[in-house]
Amino acid sequence: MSLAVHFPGETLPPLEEDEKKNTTFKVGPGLTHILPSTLIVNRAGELNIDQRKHTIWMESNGKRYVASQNDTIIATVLRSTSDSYICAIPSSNSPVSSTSQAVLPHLAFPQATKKTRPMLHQGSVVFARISLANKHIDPELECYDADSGKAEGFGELKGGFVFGVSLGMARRLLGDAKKTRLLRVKQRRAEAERRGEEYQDAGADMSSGKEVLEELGQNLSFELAVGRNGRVWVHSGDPKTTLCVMRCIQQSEFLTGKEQRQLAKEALKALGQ
Amino acid sequence: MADGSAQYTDGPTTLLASINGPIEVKPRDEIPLEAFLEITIRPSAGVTSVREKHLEALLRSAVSPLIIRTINPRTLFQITLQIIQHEQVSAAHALHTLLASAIVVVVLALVDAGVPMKGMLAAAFVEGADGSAAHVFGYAITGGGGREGGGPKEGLVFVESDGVFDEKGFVEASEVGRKKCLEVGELMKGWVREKIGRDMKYRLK
Amino acid sequence: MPRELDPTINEKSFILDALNQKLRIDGRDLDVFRELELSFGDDYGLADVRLGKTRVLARVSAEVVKPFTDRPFEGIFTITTELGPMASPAFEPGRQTEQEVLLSRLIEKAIRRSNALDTESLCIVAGQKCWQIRADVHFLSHDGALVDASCIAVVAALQHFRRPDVSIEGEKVTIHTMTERVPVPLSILHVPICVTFSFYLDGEVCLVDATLQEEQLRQGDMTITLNKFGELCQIAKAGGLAINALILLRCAKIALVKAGEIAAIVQRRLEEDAAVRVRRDNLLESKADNERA
Repeated sequence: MSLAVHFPGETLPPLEEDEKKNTTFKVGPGLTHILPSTLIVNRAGELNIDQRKHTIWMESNGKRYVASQNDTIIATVLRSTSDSYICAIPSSNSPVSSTSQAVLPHLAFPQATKKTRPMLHQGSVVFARISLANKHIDPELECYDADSGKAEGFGELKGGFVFGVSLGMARRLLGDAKKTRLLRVKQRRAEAERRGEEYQDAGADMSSGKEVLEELGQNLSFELAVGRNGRVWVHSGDPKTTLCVMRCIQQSEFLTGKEQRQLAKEALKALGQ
Repeated sequence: MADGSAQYTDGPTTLLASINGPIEVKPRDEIPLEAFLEITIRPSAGVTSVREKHLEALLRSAVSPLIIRTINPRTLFQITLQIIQHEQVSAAHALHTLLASAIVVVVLALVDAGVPMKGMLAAAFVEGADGSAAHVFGYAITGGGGREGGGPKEGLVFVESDGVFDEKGFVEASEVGRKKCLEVGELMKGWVREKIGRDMKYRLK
Repeated sequence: MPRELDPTINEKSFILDALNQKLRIDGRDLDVFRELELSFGDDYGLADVRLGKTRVLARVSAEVVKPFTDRPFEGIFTITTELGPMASPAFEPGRQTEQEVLLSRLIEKAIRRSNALDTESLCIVAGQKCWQIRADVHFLSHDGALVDASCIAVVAALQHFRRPDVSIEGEKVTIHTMTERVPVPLSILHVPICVTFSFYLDGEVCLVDATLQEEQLRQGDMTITLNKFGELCQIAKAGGLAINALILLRCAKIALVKAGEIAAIVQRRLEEDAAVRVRRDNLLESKADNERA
């Protein structure tokens, strides 16, 4: 598999006409936009273009999370003020939090009133959505679905265990790799057509990056929440199961799909399943 | 665990750099529209002295223009460089050989940490013909390209010289430095490719 | 300075529950160390210790100084430890925390005060000149067990170190360079090893080589320093949970086994490194011969 790696400082060639299709593109992380239409790479990685959603960004792995609107994250409550909880957004395995503080209003829970709001304590773990993120102000969090106003899994995560993975791994667990894989296949097909060749799927690039989860999920029962800040919460009735899931996920970071399945199978065997 | 790190060995010199950031900044160091850059250099033996402080200042002037600091205002980028081993014998140009390696290792660590950057810098140490002068050259190894003419463009962006030399000597040294920098640059790019390849390994079947 | 995040309620109760069932997060048994990796630098006296994700570097250096007036027959031995931002962004350079003070005292007592290094052998001319041996400990990555790891690093670096040879003719002292004369090893009297125990669940569970997360949750800790002959150098227990004598005895027994194992690993790695050096030196010599011929 050949990766087209772009380095910081490189100016991207202008988008092809059929890529642009007279639409406005949203510029994602890793790119600096200089008016009118120059894009410069600011983070080493692979260029991704999504024509359907009109987005363009650099795909790379990292460990430090920077708050971004509408991301779902796993945060830790630091303390409570008169009308909100002050939370920390941890990044991956880092011992210090990313932003200074994130604000989770007491009323940002489904059907919460002053009296019915959930009581969170110092050290509580919440699965939340970033409702507001701006580089100049502290991010704000919400614990309900923006469309339905219902909990939809948001809120305090009770019990279980929380651990860190790289940001890329967290995105893979959330299924991003599957989407970008389709993008790449499409891109390659387009390129092949341009050259007038028949596109052949070499079979590379077919991993979703979360085979480990698929394998474990078929054999064990557990609950899982993944935050884009590289934190993963696992809960099951048995600590052994929880630890098994945790170790498999952590060890899958640099494994191919096949190796991930193998790893999960061996772990399951050791667990006596 | 740091957000990014790199270890680099060049002959008798081994350096380790670690990067953390963007993270919370002390109120005292907070800059309203920019990230604060903290650079700490730690010697392998003994306590931090003027030498390390001097090196810190030189390193700062080399790497701080590379970092786009406006993307993460009111935060901190923490760069720590540990000298693991360094030839003490040729004390005359020790600082300059150290500086060249320090730039390389810090740039690699910054790329590893995914810090927003304007470009990558490769650096090389060149000694004047009679050994009386020491130069460190820093070349931008990525940049340019695009509409103007394709392909990465190189350019001299950093020079630090010491000792006695004339114009001719400098031009000669800079030519040697350019070649060395481009060599180091290719190595650096190779390492970054390797790192990204490792991160994307999951895609293989 | 960013503050270190405390473990969450979930992590806390999960780890303690698991410990109750004799399970550790990383799957080790309660009395098992993480894999110890030890490597040496090109220079003499540079030891790099990895214990899981913890990484500690010790560097030994020597210079000639005037001895202390009250101890004219002894050389000087100092150990410096500083927790910097490389170990964790929560550590501020230049400001000593309580943790740092405790750590440096422990190392000091374990190695310097236990007379691991024979300081009298460092004397060159009584009251005039002596060697000052300096051990700088650098913490490169912090995932618990800093005391144990740095102790291993320092004793390994001390054994690895070679100082320049010295000859005295009357009043004249000559320090020979490394190439002139074969440098001499330090006189090491014994090899102390630290084993730190962490206590949980009111002393019911005790762990060796706790990770950072485990350290954050422990109720108390105790460090036992001893050498492979079972000679006890120190038992350090700064506050925390009170433990009874039986547990202490059990810990001491475990510590003796661990110290033996660790000392053996250090010894083996030193021998391996020496073998590599001999081979390389022979190669260099044969090369030099060829050039001359």
